[in-house]
Amino acid sequence: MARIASIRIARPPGDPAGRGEEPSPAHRLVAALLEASPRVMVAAPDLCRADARGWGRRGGEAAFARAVHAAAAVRVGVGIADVRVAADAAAAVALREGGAGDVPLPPTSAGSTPPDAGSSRIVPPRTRIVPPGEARSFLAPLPLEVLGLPGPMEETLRTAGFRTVRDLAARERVELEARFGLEGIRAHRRALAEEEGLFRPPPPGEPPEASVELGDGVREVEPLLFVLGPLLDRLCGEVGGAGWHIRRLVLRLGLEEGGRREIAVRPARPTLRRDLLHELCRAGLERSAASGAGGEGRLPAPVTALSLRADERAVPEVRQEDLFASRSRDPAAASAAISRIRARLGEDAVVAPAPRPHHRPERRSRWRAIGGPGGGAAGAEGRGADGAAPPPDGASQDEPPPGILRLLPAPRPVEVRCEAGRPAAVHDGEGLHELAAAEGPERLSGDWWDDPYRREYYRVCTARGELLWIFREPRAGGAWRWWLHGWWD
Amino acid sequence: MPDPAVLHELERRLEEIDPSRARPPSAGPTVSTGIALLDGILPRGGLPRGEPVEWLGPRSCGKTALLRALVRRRRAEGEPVALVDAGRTLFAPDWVGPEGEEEVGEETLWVVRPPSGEEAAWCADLLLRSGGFGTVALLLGDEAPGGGRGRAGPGLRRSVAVRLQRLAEEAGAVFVVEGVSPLAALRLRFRPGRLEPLGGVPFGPFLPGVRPVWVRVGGGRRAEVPVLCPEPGEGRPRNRRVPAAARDRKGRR
Repeated sequence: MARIASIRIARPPGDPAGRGEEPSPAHRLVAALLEASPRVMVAAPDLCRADARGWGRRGGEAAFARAVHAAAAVRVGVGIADVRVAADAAAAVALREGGAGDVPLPPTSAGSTPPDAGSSRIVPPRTRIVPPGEARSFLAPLPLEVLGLPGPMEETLRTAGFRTVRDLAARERVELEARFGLEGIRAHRRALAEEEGLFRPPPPGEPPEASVELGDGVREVEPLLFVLGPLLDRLCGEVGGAGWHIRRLVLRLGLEEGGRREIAVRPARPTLRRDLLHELCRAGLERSAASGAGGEGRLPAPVTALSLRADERAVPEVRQEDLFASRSRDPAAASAAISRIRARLGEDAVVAPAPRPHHRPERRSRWRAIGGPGGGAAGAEGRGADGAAPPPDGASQDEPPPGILRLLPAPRPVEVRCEAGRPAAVHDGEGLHELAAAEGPERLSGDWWDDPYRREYYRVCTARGELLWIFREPRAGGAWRWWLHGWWD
Repeated sequence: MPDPAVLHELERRLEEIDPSRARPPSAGPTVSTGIALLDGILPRGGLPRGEPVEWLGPRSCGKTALLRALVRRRRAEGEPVALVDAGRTLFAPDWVGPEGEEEVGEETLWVVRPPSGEEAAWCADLLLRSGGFGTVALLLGDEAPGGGRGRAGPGLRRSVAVRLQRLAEEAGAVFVVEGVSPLAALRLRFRPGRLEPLGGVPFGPFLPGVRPVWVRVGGGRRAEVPVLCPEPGEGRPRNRRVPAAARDRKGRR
């Protein structure tokens, strides 16, 4: 059963809703609420809601309320009930009535105590807990305003003689529909506490998640980062408490216009470092902002909800250091650097060679994205050139190294002068290079089913000693077009 | 206001004439380049840790071949190596593991391929700052991140070079800049050697064999290092036997 906590913030008389403050009092309360609940919603500048389930072994809902009061730096009223409207009303009542001190939790109509009541049944001041199943009876004597109906609808009902929630609940829904239309049905549902549960916890076995629903749509990155910190604290605490580290994090943005946007954050190695994860999320948000047309530091669409999910978790890596090494590299630091580069430049910015057999040279040169150093990747250092260094992979230092191909990311067009059908000079934008030798052609063709190509490669040596790799391919009309594809270095 | 690239070039030439003008390398540890001939001409027998090394030469001068030898050596010793490939011109098959197969799991080589040259210096900054890499090589490519293309090729701006030099020093890392790097403690100049007949056999640039690469460091020290020629029919040379005549030519300066 859903249990919703509403937290209403007491505001000075001149500014009842706390408008005009940035961030709003409710946004500032989010950090405190996330310590008590993984799911938090900013409903209004002076009203937050939180999922109040899961406190059965931690002192019950009274303990939850105490935790909220203790964490909140301002005076708040806390109401807990099955449905949102009852919880909001309870919070308003609690804040208005205050409390002379701790009072025992009232028994339910069935004589049972509320779930999660736990060991402590002492309810703190400015708190109203509506037992499960009693939301309707709690609402009945209260004035109509507690339903939070739209202004015109509330005025219409008042004019029609409705004063309390009971007045409305006693009527037939069909009658209200006939008189007030769809709004009448909605008002009747609220009066009968028929709303669906607001928070849906993930099913058992799902990854840990923390979420915040923001009141109005937010387009700037900075306010989101303000809320992101407490969310990360919450999530890291939960994941770390279970003995895991986070391998992959999904930052989900609920958009005002509907739909959502997901940003995956993958640190180079599993970590619980909040500062690193926060920085990676920031980089992800900034990339998202940069990719849209919202302007600098602004997201493409207003965001109304923010959630973090630890999608993949891993056992913390432990590395055995070498006692006698004069210096060793810290894989965690290297991983953090790799993570930052990937967060800013994209997942494919940090790669390892992964060649594959393919006739087309550019497809043979394949790179695969990788993470940071593993536990055993970093070795000991500090051995000088004349020290006792191990022989490198069996290769002798006397063996000549092979020439290395530098392949251009995209072939560059060049002008080639041919003599007797063979290249004699190359003009590549930096001048004309007479060729001392040319070897070829080496004909490559294929991929007719996908992206056909037909090339004739020549390996040429310029008079200055440059070893270039050029090719030509036929153009329409029987002419050839020449390209520089790379050089050996 | 004089052109910084011209000033740097003048500074470099003065160092060549009068080696005492060059910034004296610290007496810190050094590492082998993986090429005995090259180690032989380097001060203190290897590349210094914590000091920028300028690795400069025209196309096809063999600098990438010798850089790969250095990378293989560092990897073989279990040291994490990071390459920042600003030009995105590295050919993946040439950089696989020591035995030619792809490494899975325990990588020791990370290649950073920034989408633009402007990001390359920032990547090198992060990698050095982390202290997690024993060797970092910044390959500036055709574009010049944080600077301009001088007469000698792409280069780092002085302010960027100062920052990277400090970070390399703090990290105790081998820091190689393929391009012009002001404040470099060691400058290696590469140029292709003259192609010569090999053992009486006509020697061409693409025939199996070696081509010489001249490497020069400050103080007039230089060496001729043989580099294998590209093999016909392949984008990359692999598993080739070195002709005996080529081995005999090694060591000649």
